[in-house]
Amino acid sequence: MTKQETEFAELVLSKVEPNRELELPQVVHDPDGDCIEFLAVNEDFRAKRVNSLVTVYIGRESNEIVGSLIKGVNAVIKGILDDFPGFKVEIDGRRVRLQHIFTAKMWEAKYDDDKDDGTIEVYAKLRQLAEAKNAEVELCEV
Amino acid sequence: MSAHRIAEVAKRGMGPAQELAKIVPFVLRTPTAIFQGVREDGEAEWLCYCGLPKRAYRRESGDQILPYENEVYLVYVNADRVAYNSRWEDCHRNKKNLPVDYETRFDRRVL
Repeated sequence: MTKQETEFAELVLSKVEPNRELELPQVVHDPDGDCIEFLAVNEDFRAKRVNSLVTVYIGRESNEIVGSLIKGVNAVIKGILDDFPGFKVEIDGRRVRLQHIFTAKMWEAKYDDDKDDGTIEVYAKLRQLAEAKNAEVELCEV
Repeated sequence: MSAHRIAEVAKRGMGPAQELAKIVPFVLRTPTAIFQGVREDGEAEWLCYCGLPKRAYRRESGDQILPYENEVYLVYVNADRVAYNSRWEDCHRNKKNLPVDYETRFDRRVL
């Protein structure tokens, strides 16, 4: 490691609180990537890209979906509102339940045969997981 | 890497923090490939660094383990050169140092 990398590593590790209990689900809108990262289970995982908008996290032991990454969030939300203006009622301030985003994406995919390549099933599983975990996200300004 | 991202990852525990602290810089410094254009919708300047770390970390304990077989580590960087996401993914079936579907999921390879 370089000196700079050593300093960076020390900085990162100094932020960890060893006795802090992990709160789940974790749902964060990252403004740098304009992406929502959803972690439902604290399990080692590998990522699997579904399409240009969604990557799922697959648990290494369970082999089940344990989370996901939704990309281009602002465009996703705008697209949903354009197609389904009623979706606006699901946004409280800047908070929205994650399951509603997955539901809206399922509706969009249903009407676009090109996207029905297993994507709907993935969204359905993510919706089920988000609903089970009461996952909500606060949308950032990007 | 933003302070916000560091704080969020640190909240997840020692495993993710170790990954961010040690694997991300390694991949950024010694990538096996760099791809440009990682999404649709005009993000043509965004980059994806691909690498083969020499170790991995257990999420819950932070324990160091061998790297995952047949997987690569990807670090995503936006147009401002801020890393915003990183993770392990399956490698290409023939090119073990590249991510699966690298031929179609990026605009082009720059390294």
